[in-house]
Amino acid sequence: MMEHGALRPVQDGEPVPLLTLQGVTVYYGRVRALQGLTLEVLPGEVVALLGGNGAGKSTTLRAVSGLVRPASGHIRFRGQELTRLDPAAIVRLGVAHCPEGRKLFPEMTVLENLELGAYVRAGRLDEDLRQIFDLFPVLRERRHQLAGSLSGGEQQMLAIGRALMVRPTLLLLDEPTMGLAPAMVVEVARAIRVLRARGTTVLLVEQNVQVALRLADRGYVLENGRVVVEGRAEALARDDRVRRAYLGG
Amino acid sequence: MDLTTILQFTVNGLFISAAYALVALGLTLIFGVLHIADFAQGALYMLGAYVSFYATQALGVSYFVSVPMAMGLTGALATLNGALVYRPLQRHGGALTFVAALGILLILQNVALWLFGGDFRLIASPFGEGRITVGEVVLTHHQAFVLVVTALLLGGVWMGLRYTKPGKALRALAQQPEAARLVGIDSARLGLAAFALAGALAGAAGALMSAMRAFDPHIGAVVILKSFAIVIFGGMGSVPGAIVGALVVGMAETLTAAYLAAEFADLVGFALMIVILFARPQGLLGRVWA
Amino acid sequence: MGTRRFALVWCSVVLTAVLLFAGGRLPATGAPAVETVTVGFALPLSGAAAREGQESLEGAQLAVRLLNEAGGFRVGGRVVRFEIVSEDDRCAPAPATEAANRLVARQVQFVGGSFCSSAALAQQPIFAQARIPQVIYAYATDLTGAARQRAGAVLSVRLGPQAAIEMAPLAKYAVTVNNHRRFFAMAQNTDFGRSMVGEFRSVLERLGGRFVAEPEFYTFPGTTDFRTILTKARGSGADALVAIGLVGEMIGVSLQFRELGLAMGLYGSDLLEDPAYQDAVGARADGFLYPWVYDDGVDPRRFTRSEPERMAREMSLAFLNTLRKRATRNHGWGWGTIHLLKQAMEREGSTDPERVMRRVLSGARFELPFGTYGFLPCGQADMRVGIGTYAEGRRTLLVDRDFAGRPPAVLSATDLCR
Repeated sequence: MMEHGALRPVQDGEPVPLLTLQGVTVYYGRVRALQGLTLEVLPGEVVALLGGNGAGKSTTLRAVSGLVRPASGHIRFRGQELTRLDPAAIVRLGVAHCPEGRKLFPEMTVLENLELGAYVRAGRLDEDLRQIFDLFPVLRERRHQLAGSLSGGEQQMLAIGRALMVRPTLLLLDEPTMGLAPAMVVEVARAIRVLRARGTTVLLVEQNVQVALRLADRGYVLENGRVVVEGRAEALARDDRVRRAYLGG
Repeated sequence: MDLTTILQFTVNGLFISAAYALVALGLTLIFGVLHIADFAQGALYMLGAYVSFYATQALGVSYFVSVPMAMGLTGALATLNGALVYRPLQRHGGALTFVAALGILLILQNVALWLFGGDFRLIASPFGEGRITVGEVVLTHHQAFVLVVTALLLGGVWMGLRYTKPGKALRALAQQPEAARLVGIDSARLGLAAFALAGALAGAAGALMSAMRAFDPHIGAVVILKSFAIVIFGGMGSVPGAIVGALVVGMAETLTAAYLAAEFADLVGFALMIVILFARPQGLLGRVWA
Repeated sequence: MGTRRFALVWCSVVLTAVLLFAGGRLPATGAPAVETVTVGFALPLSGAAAREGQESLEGAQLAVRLLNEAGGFRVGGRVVRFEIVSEDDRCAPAPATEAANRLVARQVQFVGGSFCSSAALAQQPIFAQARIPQVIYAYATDLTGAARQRAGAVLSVRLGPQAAIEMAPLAKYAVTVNNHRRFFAMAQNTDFGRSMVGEFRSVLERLGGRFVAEPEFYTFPGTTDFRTILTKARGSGADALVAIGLVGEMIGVSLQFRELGLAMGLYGSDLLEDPAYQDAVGARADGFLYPWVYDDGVDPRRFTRSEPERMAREMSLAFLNTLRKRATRNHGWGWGTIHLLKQAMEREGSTDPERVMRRVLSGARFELPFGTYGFLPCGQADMRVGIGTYAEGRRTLLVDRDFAGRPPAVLSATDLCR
């Protein structure tokens, strides 16, 4: 557990971060959504971003995937600067963003949605589809159904599945359990654990702090667009400030 | 009225619908993908007619070659409009692109007036006066050709949108632009593709419909107004909506002229548009997903 | 400070006005007295009737160019030259009003136009109030009737035919020569279309004919497909069709009429004599009939003309020699306006607008592109049209301008000032 400060120097033997954000500032018009945000994600980690509404969690993901362009700061993925790339180029590097609100293509079938997930990739998709259908068997049953006609939980599975079609090294997951029934929350959480076991690195934004801290290795607590607390998930779960603010106790 | 007369009305209505369908399909594509009401397509319809006219008349090109020539040129022009006018303006909101679209329509009309003069032109149909007559029902060979080509174009676009990768990407962009960007779809490039396709369809319509009818630089203005009403009627951005809407409006116009009075015929499209806006604001086949 | 600036501004305004006035009205000392008369044209220069408007303007421009190249013409002791300004009225009431206001602001002395009835009706009160004489080309009856009276437009005249002048002989020809009595009517839904159909119907019914159905009025501008109306006409049991529209519409009507194989007569507006119509429709127009207005003497005819149409010939040759193109009826509007004003000024010995128009309306005859005729007190040209047709793709004139007046007479001067 440590107070947030400048990035630690990387020491010998320590893993090289997959993703680093350094002093990232983002404006929406005149509103400053991120104020010099700094964080890092190590390969194979599940990292949770916590914080209230408007803390800047979604904006962080949007900055990484190129949907918003930072006014200043650096975002590096495997050492490569992302801030000047467009979303298409970033997704080609293996960064998949499963956005808040799922954002499916409603008038296209489940299968078409998944195929579009692999838009930047050439080659056969059979194996990817099989893996996703194994992960979410209900999608196999509904593969010819229109995405707009799925239930909320199914839509969330499809949204994650679409992001997985990128074969991502880093998966940005924005509010995957929002508005889902408890049984579906369990289902989505299980999927994230499977992904983690397969070695996919996940940067997770999650309103449900209990779920988030159970899934994550580490977490960052954001307030007003900057990191206020960071640490191992277990430590955050015990941290008084986090408990008071987000765990209702 | 007797059966032949009714059949003749049906043929007439179908033929009118063909022009509307081609133009409305392009409009709905552009609207769906870019949320621009591209009234300049009316000028491309007109230019399609002129390209075909000059290609056949001055260059001695076959009419069958002149139609793809018209499509190529109007498609290119639409792409230029998209890249040079609409894209820079789009950041500033929809009202600006709307005004720009009307501006382009007027400018192209006046450029055409200056280049080609106000004289009426007539494209000679390669089918001449040939016609199919069943009883008293007349379908000219040219009309039959137009109907077949229209069906092929509509079918081709439909299949392309349904089964090809760029087609799916276009649909994706129309349905959910942010997710489309996230899966790596280049919205700028595909937006221009939508312009090119729409422009080519408008040009084809102009070249196809303007044989055996007199045209001048103002020919496209009314077509575009009605096609836009059809797009609203069918559902903004809906491809089947545009095609069904064109059929409904074309037929309704014809039947109004046939059984009521011609002076009401042109109001029908707009009346249908207003009715649908009250009854079903998303349009006949437009969908709203929660 | 405030008052001083105010005074300064006023001084300059007055000075400018004096200079402008002097420049416009006072001849330079020593030089021969030259006066420039400005004629404004309010015409559809863009939009659906652009071609007609542009050609009208072109006729005026060529007439002025030739007159000025010849050194102008003498009025009293002075030499007069014309100058032309134009405004686009787009063939519709709202832009026509704006065009009229701009011409008033530009201080034109006479106005030619509009070509379109709806535009001319909108302009008439404006020019009447500014006391600017208006030489109108449009056909709606009202322009020399109730509308003219309402507007107090005593200085306005109509240069050529109005609806009755064109439609009365046409309907008479249909009934008395072709024995066509049962008619189906279609026209553009404008003052022009409705006036023409109304006049046709009135004479048709007077001679024992009738309309088999209520007339079909289609939208103008923009209608290009007439097949549904024509299908209706085909099934109506009529002997013939009367169709009123501008050139583009008449081309469409004629081609689609042939395409649908209508076995009946076709009577059109005078736009059927337009070269653009002839080029597009050619021999497919054989047997169609129209009011014949403009005759430069080159078409075959089935009558012996008593009086050659000198001004039509002169205009026709001028167009061939200088612009290398064939003059049309539309050119005649502008050309005729200039020559009407010139002849009236020469005879009156003045360029004063009110005096010139009094001369025009005196009943004296003027030599114009559509014949030699005078003007009735209501402003209407007291002229007549003949009937023309097409034979093997060539305009062929069937009866001369006196046809309407031959017994049974269907048109007298009193009919023209209703």
